Order: sequence, then C-alpha cells, then structure tokens
Amino acid sequence: MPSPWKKFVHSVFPLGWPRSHRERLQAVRGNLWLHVFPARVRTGSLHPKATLGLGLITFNLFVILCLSGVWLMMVYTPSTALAYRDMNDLAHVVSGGRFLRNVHRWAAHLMVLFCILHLIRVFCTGAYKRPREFNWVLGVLLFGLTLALSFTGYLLPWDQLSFWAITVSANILDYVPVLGPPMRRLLLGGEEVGQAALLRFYVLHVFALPTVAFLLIAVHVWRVRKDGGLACSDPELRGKEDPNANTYVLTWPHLLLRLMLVMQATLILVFICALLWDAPLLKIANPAHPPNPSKAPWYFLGLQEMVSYSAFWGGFFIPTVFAVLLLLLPYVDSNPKGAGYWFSRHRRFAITLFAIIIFSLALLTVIGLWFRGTHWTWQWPWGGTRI
Amino acid sequence: MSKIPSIPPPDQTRLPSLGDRNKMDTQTPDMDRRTFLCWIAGGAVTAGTLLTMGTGALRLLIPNVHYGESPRIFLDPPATYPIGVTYLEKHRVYLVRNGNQIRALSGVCTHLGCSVNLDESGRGFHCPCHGSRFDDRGEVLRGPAARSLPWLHLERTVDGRVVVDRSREVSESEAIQV
Repeated sequence: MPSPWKKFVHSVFPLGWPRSHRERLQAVRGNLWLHVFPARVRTGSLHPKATLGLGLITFNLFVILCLSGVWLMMVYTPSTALAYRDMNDLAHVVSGGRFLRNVHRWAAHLMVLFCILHLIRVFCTGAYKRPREFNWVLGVLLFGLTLALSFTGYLLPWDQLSFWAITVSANILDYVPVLGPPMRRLLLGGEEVGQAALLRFYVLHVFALPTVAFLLIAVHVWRVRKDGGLACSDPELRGKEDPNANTYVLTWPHLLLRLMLVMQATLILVFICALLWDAPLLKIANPAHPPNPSKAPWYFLGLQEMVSYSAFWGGFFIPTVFAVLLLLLPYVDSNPKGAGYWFSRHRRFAITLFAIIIFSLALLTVIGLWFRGTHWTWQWPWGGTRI
Repeated sequence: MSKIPSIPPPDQTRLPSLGDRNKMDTQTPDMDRRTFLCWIAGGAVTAGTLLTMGTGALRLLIPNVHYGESPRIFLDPPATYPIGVTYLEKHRVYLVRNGNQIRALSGVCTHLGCSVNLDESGRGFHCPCHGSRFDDRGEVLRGPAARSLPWLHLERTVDGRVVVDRSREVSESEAIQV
C-alpha cells in the first residue's frame, strides 16, 4: 500500500524520474515546459560551435530581468516626486537593493548585447534561409522589443539621463512625417516628459512589452523545433556531407545538461558584473540643464551620432530603412546556398555587405562613446585637440 | 560526441512546406454561396467590433486636459532684470535686455528639444546634446538645428509685470520698454 505522500507525488509527476530511453523520451514529450524541445536532437546541434549558445543566453537574461524586475517593482513608485527617492533608497537603505538594481541593469545591457551577437550568428550561418524565414522575422521583432524595453526602462529612475534621453528621442518623432507628432503625444501623454509619460513608460516596461516579448519568445523557440531544428544540423540543407547530420541523441540528458550549464554561466556572469560595477545614477531630472555632454546608452550612441548630423535622415530615414531591410532579409536574399555553415563561400556578397553595415554601426558607436566631448564636439579619447 | 549512443531518427514533424500546401489546395473544393456569405457577414461584424474597440482604446489615451504649466508665464516688473541675458531656469526662456528694451528668446533647441546653454562669450547659445550653435539673435550658426531659436511674445500686466507667452512666436523687432 503506497503512502499518501507517494500518491501525491505520483499525481504531480505520473511519469516519475525517467530511468530508460523510452521514459526519457516520454519525460520530454509529456512535460509542458520541456516539450518546446524535440525529444531527440541531432548531435551536430549540441556542438558549442553550432550556436555559441547565444539565443539561450539571451533567453536566460530575459528570465533574470523578469525576476529581478518584479522585486524592483516592490520598492519603486512610478511618480516624478518619488521615483528618484526610491532609487536612492535602493542604493542606501534597502537591504541588497544596490545589488538588485545592478543585476537588473547588467542583465538589461547584456541582453541587448547578446541579442546583437545572436543576430550576427544567425546571419553568419545563413540560418534564416528557407524554411526558417519567419523565425528570423520573429527574432528581429524580439530585438526591437528588447530595445523598446531598454528604452522604457531608461525613464524610470527619473535622473538626468532618463529625462534627456526620453526628451530627445520623443522629439525625434516630430521629424517622422504625418504620424510622428500624434505618436509622440500618445507616448508621452502630453507635450513634455512628465508624470503622464512616466506612468505610460512604467506600464509598458513592466507589463505590456514583457508580455508581448514572452509570447513572441515562445513562438520563436517553438518554431526552431517545427522548422526542423538548427540549420547547421539540417540534413536537407547539409546533405550527406555531414556525418553527424543524422546521428540523434536524447534531449534528456544531453541537451538539458548543456542548457543548465549555460544558465549557470549566465547567472554567474550577471552576478559578477553586478558585484563589480554599480549602476550609475545621475542627479535628479532637471529640465533647465541637460548634462554636458548628454550621452545615450551605448546601443543608441550610433543613433545619437547620426542624429547629430540630421534629425530626419539620421533619426528616422536611415533607421527605418535599416529596420525594414532587416525584417525582410530572408525574402530579399534569394540565394538558397550556404545555410547551416559559418561564413559560407557561396554567400560572399551578403556577408561582405553585412560586415560593412555592422562595422559602420560599430564605428558610429565608438565615435559617440570616446570621440565626443562637451557640446558633442569632437575630441580625442586621450584628451586635447579639437577639430 | 562519439561516446554518446546513437538512436534512430524521429518521424518528420515539420510544418508543411509551400509545395505540400499547394498539393493540399488542389484537393479543397470551392466554397459555396452560403459559406461565402457567412464569411462576409462574420468578417464584417468582427472587423467592425475590432475597429470600434481599437479607435476607442486609442482615443482614451489622448489626454483632453493638460495639467502642465501654462504657456503664459508671469514674471517680475521689467526693471528687475539686469542688462544682458537672464536665464529663467524654470521656464527655459532667456530674457534679453538691451538698454531699455526687453525681449524673450526660447531656450529650447529647435533640433531635439534640449535646453541650450549660454556660451563662453555670454552672447550666443550652445546645445549640449548635439552641438548646435546659435548667435545672440537666436540665428543658427552651426547645425544640426535647422530653425533659429524663436522670439516669444511679451506683454505687460496692469500692475506692470512682464508676461511671456511661450506659445506665440514673434519677430525679433517686438520688445517691451522698461
């Protein structure tokens, strides 16, 4: 006669701890969370070189952000009178508050970084080609959402950086023909960045955008399986050249073990950054005096550099063309060759073009980061002469 | 990798390709009139509902009342302001007094809305965000700003105080006497 405890455990996990191949297959298929994975994976997909784990790391960072974000919500008030005080409380009064905010900030910056790296990886391995076109589109949308989440999170501390970053970017919308000005009013809930804007950004940041991101992530990950797994181990794409293409292993334990190792590594990376470097907090928002120079976060510095030449071309036209091209890439690039290989020689043109674009963006960012001083004038990073 | 025992491949569980779909489509019979009309009616009701809800939801987010500061700001009598340029921090307006004439220049950069600083010479203006420069008359000396800083409408209350209306741009020649 089994004990009531055993009966209860059985009701929760009817399959129990899997002991045979067959049970491990069932464990993956029969679990809501694990069934986003296939029950077996090709050995080629498990090699670190296949993906460098970049998408997984990005997802882990998203989870860390959601959890630390909920904790931050417990001590933060979205009010222009209280938000900045709450930031100071986090740094000086709340137990572990400084660490919590550091974790959230570092995970946010790393998530943008790993999104970009993941996008570069998928491009360089041609993994967006048929039949994976739509998953690339989902990925680009998720990248946009990540930037939107960072952007909305920027306003919440209500310091100088918050106020001026949002003021400047909201004003870029004025250069968007027809739809721009009404969109700016809709976003800010008024003419200027104030209480209405803070509340709107808060709701977008803590609820609306994360929910959409979560749903898109679910579809994105599910489509990886439904599109036939990773391109690098797709027998239809790689053919018979790859001896490992048709060798399968069980997801439990081979994939899950690697998954957990990457999760641990991500968490450790975020914790180390959070322990070593504090999230900055400038003076309280002051509409009379922008900081000089007033710099955007690194991932928007290329944009700021372009805007410093022309608000319409640099702030609206070029970014819009870039975003549309990025979204439509799998449909524009009709070359079916080279999917599943790093830097395939059949894709020289596409890879060269992509490299030029990435290099230009990196160059603009470096200029904004180290070559711009007070009043956004040119200065050398080692100090001294202006041009 | 070689140590991991190999198992046979699974059945194909991929989403159908375009070719598969085309094959399926040729087997689908044409829609009859009743089904077609049902689709039209159902579609119209759904579209109408979504459109109404969507418009209402968007309209709700556009504020009908602005609780911010009024564009008209009430200042002290003109004689209290010294000759030269005075920055009214709270309102982001520069008061320019030239002898007995007072005029008001907007302190908001026409490029992307940062507050401009009085530059080293104390006569022109310099934007810290993207480096635009304006001279003492608000004219653009250097981009990215394309428009000059606007002069603002000034008037006097019955008890002699200065009122600046930030919503009304005027020509440079308009001034009030101290």
